[in-house]
Amino acid sequence: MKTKFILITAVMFIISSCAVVPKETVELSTILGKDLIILHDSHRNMVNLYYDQMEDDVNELIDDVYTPFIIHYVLSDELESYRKGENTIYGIIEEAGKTNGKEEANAALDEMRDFLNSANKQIENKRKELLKPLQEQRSLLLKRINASYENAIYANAIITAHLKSIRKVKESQKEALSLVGLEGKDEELDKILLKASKVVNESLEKAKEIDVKSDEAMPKIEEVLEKIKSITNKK
Amino acid sequence: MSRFEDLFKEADAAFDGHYKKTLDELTGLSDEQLKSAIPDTEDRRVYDKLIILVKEASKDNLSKAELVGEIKELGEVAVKIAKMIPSLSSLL
Repeated sequence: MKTKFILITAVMFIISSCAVVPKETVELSTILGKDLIILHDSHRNMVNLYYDQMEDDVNELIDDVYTPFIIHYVLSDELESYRKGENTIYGIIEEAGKTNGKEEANAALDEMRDFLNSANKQIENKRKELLKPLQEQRSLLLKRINASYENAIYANAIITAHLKSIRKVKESQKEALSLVGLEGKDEELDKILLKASKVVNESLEKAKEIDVKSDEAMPKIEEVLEKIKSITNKK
Repeated sequence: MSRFEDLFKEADAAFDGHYKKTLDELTGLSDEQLKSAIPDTEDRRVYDKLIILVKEASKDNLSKAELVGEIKELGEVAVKIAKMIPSLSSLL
Protein backbone atom coordinates (compact mmCIF):
# COMPACT_ATOMS: atom_id res chain seq x y z
CA MET A 1 0.00 0.00 0.00
CA LYS A 2 2.95 2.31 0.73
CA THR A 3 4.29 1.74 -2.80
CA LYS A 4 0.88 2.58 -4.21
CA PHE A 5 0.79 5.86 -2.27
CA ILE A 6 4.30 6.89 -3.32
CA LEU A 7 3.61 6.09 -6.97
CA ILE A 8 0.38 8.05 -7.10
CA THR A 9 1.91 11.02 -5.26
CA ALA A 10 4.90 11.06 -7.62
CA VAL A 11 2.72 10.92 -10.73
CA MET A 12 0.41 13.65 -9.40
CA PHE A 13 3.40 15.86 -8.56
CA ILE A 14 4.85 15.45 -12.04
CA ILE A 15 1.48 16.17 -13.63
CA SER A 16 0.90 19.32 -11.61
CA SER A 17 4.41 20.67 -12.13
CA CYS A 18 4.12 20.22 -15.89
CA ALA A 19 0.70 21.86 -16.35
CA VAL A 20 -0.01 22.97 -19.91
CA VAL A 21 -0.48 26.74 -20.26
CA PRO A 22 -1.06 27.67 -23.91
CA LYS A 23 -0.20 31.24 -24.94
CA GLU A 24 -3.92 31.80 -25.61
CA THR A 25 -4.51 31.57 -21.83
CA VAL A 26 -2.44 34.73 -21.37
CA GLU A 27 -4.25 36.34 -24.31
CA LEU A 28 -7.66 35.39 -22.87
CA SER A 29 -6.73 36.79 -19.48
CA THR A 30 -5.47 40.01 -21.10
CA ILE A 31 -8.72 40.37 -23.11
CA LEU A 32 -10.72 39.75 -19.95
CA GLY A 33 -8.75 42.52 -18.20
CA LYS A 34 -9.51 44.96 -21.04
CA ASP A 35 -13.20 44.00 -21.08
CA LEU A 36 -13.44 44.46 -17.33
CA ILE A 37 -12.25 48.06 -17.80
CA ILE A 38 -14.89 48.58 -20.51
CA LEU A 39 -17.60 47.04 -18.31
CA HIS A 40 -16.49 49.25 -15.44
CA ASP A 41 -16.87 52.38 -17.61
CA SER A 42 -20.23 51.19 -18.86
CA HIS A 43 -21.52 50.47 -15.34
CA ARG A 44 -20.25 53.83 -14.08
CA ASN A 45 -21.82 55.62 -17.07
CA MET A 46 -25.18 54.00 -16.38
CA VAL A 47 -25.12 55.25 -12.79
CA ASN A 48 -24.07 58.74 -13.89
CA LEU A 49 -26.75 58.88 -16.59
CA TYR A 50 -29.42 57.91 -14.05
CA TYR A 51 -28.33 60.48 -11.47
CA ASP A 52 -27.69 63.21 -14.08
CA GLN A 53 -31.28 62.77 -15.22
CA MET A 54 -32.55 62.82 -11.62
CA GLU A 55 -30.60 65.99 -10.89
CA ASP A 56 -31.88 67.62 -14.09
CA ASP A 57 -35.42 66.78 -13.00
CA VAL A 58 -34.81 68.34 -9.58
CA ASN A 59 -33.34 71.52 -11.12
CA GLU A 60 -36.26 71.72 -13.55
CA LEU A 61 -38.72 71.36 -10.68
CA ILE A 62 -36.94 74.06 -8.68
CA ASP A 63 -36.69 76.53 -11.59
CA ASP A 64 -40.03 75.91 -13.26
CA VAL A 65 -42.34 74.92 -10.43
CA TYR A 66 -40.89 75.67 -6.99
CA THR A 67 -39.63 79.22 -7.67
CA PRO A 68 -42.90 80.58 -9.15
CA PHE A 69 -44.89 78.71 -6.47
CA ILE A 70 -43.16 80.23 -3.44
CA ILE A 71 -42.92 83.72 -4.96
CA HIS A 72 -46.59 83.63 -5.78
CA TYR A 73 -47.36 82.34 -2.29
CA VAL A 74 -45.45 85.14 -0.53
CA LEU A 75 -46.78 87.90 -2.82
CA SER A 76 -50.37 86.65 -2.35
CA ASP A 77 -49.87 86.73 1.40
CA GLU A 78 -48.43 90.26 1.15
CA LEU A 79 -51.35 91.37 -1.01
CA GLU A 80 -53.83 90.05 1.50
CA SER A 81 -52.00 91.89 4.30
CA TYR A 82 -51.87 95.05 2.15
CA ARG A 83 -55.62 94.91 1.70
CA LYS A 84 -55.94 94.70 5.48
CA GLY A 85 -53.82 97.84 5.75
CA GLU A 86 -50.80 96.10 7.20
CA ASN A 87 -47.15 96.94 6.51
CA THR A 88 -46.20 95.13 3.27
CA ILE A 89 -43.89 95.31 0.26
CA TYR A 90 -46.78 96.74 -1.78
CA GLY A 91 -47.38 99.53 0.70
CA ILE A 92 -43.69 100.48 0.90
CA ILE A 93 -43.29 100.53 -2.93
CA GLU A 94 -46.52 102.48 -3.29
CA GLU A 95 -45.29 105.03 -0.76
CA ALA A 96 -42.00 105.45 -2.64
CA GLY A 97 -43.98 105.94 -5.86
CA LYS A 98 -46.25 108.56 -4.37
CA THR A 99 -43.56 110.65 -2.71
CA ASN A 100 -40.30 111.93 -4.12
CA GLY A 101 -38.37 111.34 -0.87
CA LYS A 102 -34.98 109.59 -0.73
CA GLU A 103 -35.88 107.87 2.53
CA GLU A 104 -38.99 106.26 0.99
CA ALA A 105 -36.99 105.22 -2.09
CA ASN A 106 -34.30 103.60 0.13
CA ALA A 107 -36.98 101.84 2.20
CA ALA A 108 -38.51 100.42 -1.01
CA LEU A 109 -35.07 99.31 -2.22
CA ASP A 110 -34.29 97.60 1.12
CA GLU A 111 -37.67 95.84 1.08
CA MET A 112 -37.18 94.58 -2.48
CA ARG A 113 -33.60 93.48 -1.69
CA ASP A 114 -34.82 91.63 1.40
CA PHE A 115 -37.54 89.95 -0.68
CA LEU A 116 -35.09 88.83 -3.38
CA ASN A 117 -32.41 87.68 -0.92
CA SER A 118 -34.93 85.67 1.07
CA ALA A 119 -36.40 84.16 -2.12
CA ASN A 120 -32.97 83.19 -3.46
CA LYS A 121 -31.89 81.76 -0.10
CA GLN A 122 -35.03 79.62 0.11
CA ILE A 123 -34.72 78.46 -3.52
CA GLU A 124 -31.07 77.41 -3.12
CA ASN A 125 -31.79 75.71 0.23
CA LYS A 126 -34.52 73.68 -1.43
CA ARG A 127 -32.24 72.81 -4.35
CA LYS A 128 -29.57 71.59 -1.90
CA GLU A 129 -32.15 69.69 0.17
CA LEU A 130 -33.34 67.76 -2.89
CA LEU A 131 -29.95 67.27 -4.56
CA LYS A 132 -28.01 66.19 -1.46
CA PRO A 133 -29.52 62.68 -1.08
CA LEU A 134 -29.09 62.07 -4.81
CA GLN A 135 -25.45 63.19 -4.70
CA GLU A 136 -24.82 60.98 -1.67
CA GLN A 137 -26.43 57.97 -3.37
CA ARG A 138 -24.43 58.53 -6.55
CA SER A 139 -21.22 58.88 -4.60
CA LEU A 140 -21.85 55.73 -2.54
CA LEU A 141 -22.84 53.68 -5.55
CA LEU A 142 -19.86 54.82 -7.64
CA LYS A 143 -17.48 54.24 -4.76
CA ARG A 144 -18.66 50.65 -4.30
CA ILE A 145 -18.77 49.95 -8.04
CA ASN A 146 -15.26 51.38 -8.49
CA ALA A 147 -13.91 49.32 -5.58
CA SER A 148 -15.45 46.11 -6.93
CA TYR A 149 -14.12 46.61 -10.46
CA GLU A 150 -10.72 47.79 -9.25
CA ASN A 151 -10.37 44.62 -7.15
CA ALA A 152 -11.42 42.41 -10.06
CA ILE A 153 -9.22 44.25 -12.59
CA TYR A 154 -6.20 44.16 -10.29
CA ALA A 155 -6.71 40.49 -9.43
CA ASN A 156 -7.02 39.65 -13.12
CA ALA A 157 -3.82 41.60 -13.86
CA ILE A 158 -2.05 39.51 -11.20
CA ILE A 159 -3.40 36.31 -12.76
CA THR A 160 -2.30 37.49 -16.23
CA ALA A 161 1.17 38.26 -14.86
CA HIS A 162 1.29 34.84 -13.24
CA LEU A 163 0.27 33.08 -16.44
CA LYS A 164 2.92 35.10 -18.29
CA SER A 165 5.52 33.98 -15.74
CA ILE A 166 4.55 30.34 -16.32
CA ARG A 167 4.83 30.90 -20.08
CA LYS A 168 8.22 32.48 -19.58
CA VAL A 169 9.47 29.43 -17.68
CA LYS A 170 8.10 27.18 -20.45
CA GLU A 171 9.74 29.27 -23.18
CA SER A 172 13.10 29.31 -21.37
CA GLN A 173 12.85 25.55 -20.93
CA LYS A 174 12.10 25.08 -24.64
CA GLU A 175 15.05 27.24 -25.65
CA ALA A 176 17.40 25.40 -23.30
CA LEU A 177 16.14 21.98 -24.47
CA SER A 178 16.53 22.92 -28.13
CA LEU A 179 20.17 23.75 -27.38
CA VAL A 180 20.84 20.12 -26.43
CA GLY A 181 18.69 18.68 -29.22
CA LEU A 182 15.65 17.92 -27.07
CA GLU A 183 13.31 20.40 -28.73
CA GLY A 184 9.65 19.38 -28.39
CA LYS A 185 10.44 16.73 -25.78
CA ASP A 186 8.63 18.73 -23.14
CA GLU A 187 5.46 18.71 -25.25
CA GLU A 188 5.81 14.96 -25.74
CA LEU A 189 6.17 14.63 -21.98
CA ASP A 190 3.03 16.71 -21.47
CA LYS A 191 1.09 14.36 -23.76
CA ILE A 192 2.43 11.29 -21.96
CA LEU A 193 1.53 12.81 -18.61
CA LEU A 194 -1.98 13.64 -19.77
CA LYS A 195 -2.42 10.03 -20.83
CA ALA A 196 -0.93 8.93 -17.51
CA SER A 197 -3.36 11.17 -15.67
CA LYS A 198 -6.31 9.41 -17.31
CA VAL A 199 -4.92 5.98 -16.38
CA VAL A 200 -4.33 7.09 -12.80
CA ASN A 201 -7.86 8.43 -12.51
CA GLU A 202 -9.36 5.22 -13.87
CA SER A 203 -7.18 3.14 -11.56
CA LEU A 204 -8.17 5.22 -8.56
CA GLU A 205 -11.83 4.75 -9.41
CA LYS A 206 -11.28 0.98 -9.61
CA ALA A 207 -9.28 0.99 -6.36
CA LYS A 208 -12.17 2.69 -4.55
CA GLU A 209 -14.48 -0.12 -5.55
CA ILE A 210 -12.23 -2.87 -4.12
CA ASP A 211 -13.56 -4.54 -1.00
CA VAL A 212 -10.38 -4.78 1.08
CA LYS A 213 -11.83 -7.51 3.30
CA SER A 214 -12.60 -9.85 0.43
CA ASP A 215 -10.31 -12.63 -0.79
CA GLU A 216 -10.06 -10.99 -4.18
CA ALA A 217 -8.73 -7.73 -2.72
CA MET A 218 -5.01 -8.48 -3.11
CA PRO A 219 -5.14 -9.59 -6.78
CA LYS A 220 -7.30 -6.56 -7.60
CA ILE A 221 -4.92 -4.16 -5.83
CA GLU A 222 -2.02 -5.78 -7.67
CA GLU A 223 -3.88 -5.28 -10.95
CA VAL A 224 -4.38 -1.58 -10.24
CA LEU A 225 -0.74 -1.16 -9.20
CA GLU A 226 0.46 -2.90 -12.35
CA LYS A 227 -1.59 -0.54 -14.46
CA ILE A 228 -0.07 2.50 -12.72
CA LYS A 229 3.41 0.99 -12.96
CA SER A 230 2.92 0.37 -16.67
CA ILE A 231 2.63 4.09 -17.39
CA THR A 232 5.79 4.86 -15.44
CA ASN A 233 7.65 1.86 -16.98
CA LYS A 234 8.51 0.57 -13.51
CA LYS A 235 8.06 -3.18 -13.61
CA MET B 1 -34.64 86.09 10.56
CA SER B 2 -36.47 88.60 8.32
CA ARG B 3 -40.19 88.71 7.73
CA PHE B 4 -39.71 87.39 4.20
CA GLU B 5 -37.56 84.46 5.35
CA ASP B 6 -40.43 83.33 7.58
CA LEU B 7 -42.91 83.75 4.76
CA PHE B 8 -40.77 81.78 2.31
CA LYS B 9 -40.42 78.97 4.85
CA GLU B 10 -44.21 78.89 5.09
CA ALA B 11 -44.39 78.83 1.28
CA ASP B 12 -41.92 75.92 1.27
CA ALA B 13 -44.07 73.90 3.67
CA ALA B 14 -47.11 74.57 1.46
CA PHE B 15 -45.14 73.41 -1.60
CA ASP B 16 -44.08 70.16 0.16
CA GLY B 17 -47.73 69.38 0.91
CA HIS B 18 -48.93 70.27 -2.58
CA TYR B 19 -46.21 68.42 -4.51
CA LYS B 20 -45.58 65.49 -2.14
CA LYS B 21 -45.93 62.81 -4.85
CA THR B 22 -43.53 64.60 -7.22
CA LEU B 23 -41.00 65.10 -4.43
CA ASP B 24 -41.19 61.42 -3.46
CA GLU B 25 -40.35 60.47 -7.05
CA LEU B 26 -37.21 62.60 -6.97
CA THR B 27 -35.56 61.03 -3.93
CA GLY B 28 -33.63 58.47 -6.01
CA LEU B 29 -33.42 54.81 -5.09
CA SER B 30 -35.02 53.32 -2.00
CA ASP B 31 -32.73 51.64 0.56
CA GLU B 32 -33.69 48.24 -0.81
CA GLN B 33 -33.06 49.27 -4.42
CA LEU B 34 -29.74 50.83 -3.46
CA LYS B 35 -28.70 47.66 -1.64
CA SER B 36 -29.49 45.54 -4.69
CA ALA B 37 -27.59 47.95 -6.98
CA ILE B 38 -24.41 47.86 -4.90
CA PRO B 39 -22.13 45.02 -6.08
CA ASP B 40 -21.79 42.48 -3.27
CA THR B 41 -18.28 41.40 -4.23
CA GLU B 42 -15.56 39.80 -2.10
CA ASP B 43 -13.86 41.85 0.59
CA ARG B 44 -10.64 43.62 -0.43
CA ARG B 45 -8.74 41.85 2.38
CA VAL B 46 -9.51 38.45 0.82
CA TYR B 47 -8.19 39.73 -2.53
CA ASP B 48 -5.06 41.10 -0.88
CA LYS B 49 -4.25 37.81 0.87
CA LEU B 50 -4.60 35.80 -2.35
CA ILE B 51 -2.77 38.38 -4.47
CA ILE B 52 0.28 38.24 -2.18
CA LEU B 53 0.51 34.46 -2.67
CA VAL B 54 0.04 34.58 -6.44
CA LYS B 55 2.57 37.43 -6.75
CA GLU B 56 5.07 35.37 -4.78
CA ALA B 57 4.53 32.39 -7.11
CA SER B 58 4.95 34.64 -10.19
CA LYS B 59 8.19 35.98 -8.74
CA ASP B 60 9.43 32.41 -8.23
CA ASN B 61 8.53 31.55 -11.83
CA LEU B 62 10.38 34.58 -13.17
CA SER B 63 13.43 33.63 -11.10
CA LYS B 64 13.25 30.10 -12.54
CA ALA B 65 12.94 31.47 -16.08
CA GLU B 66 15.88 33.78 -15.43
CA LEU B 67 17.97 30.90 -14.08
CA VAL B 68 17.13 28.69 -17.07
CA GLY B 69 17.99 31.61 -19.36
CA GLU B 70 21.33 32.09 -17.65
CA ILE B 71 22.14 28.35 -17.96
CA LYS B 72 21.20 28.52 -21.63
CA GLU B 73 23.47 31.55 -22.10
CA LEU B 74 26.38 29.47 -20.80
CA GLY B 75 25.87 27.08 -23.70
CA GLU B 76 25.09 23.48 -24.58
CA VAL B 77 27.55 21.97 -22.09
CA ALA B 78 26.03 23.95 -19.22
CA VAL B 79 22.53 22.74 -20.15
CA LYS B 80 23.74 19.13 -20.27
CA ILE B 81 25.46 19.50 -16.88
CA ALA B 82 22.38 21.17 -15.40
CA LYS B 83 20.23 18.26 -16.53
CA MET B 84 22.43 15.95 -14.46
CA ILE B 85 21.92 17.99 -11.30
CA PRO B 86 18.58 16.92 -9.70
CA SER B 87 17.63 20.37 -8.40
CA LEU B 88 18.26 21.95 -11.83
CA SER B 89 17.05 19.12 -14.06
CA SER B 90 13.50 19.71 -12.85
CA LEU B 91 13.72 23.18 -14.39
CA LEU B 92 14.79 21.87 -17.82
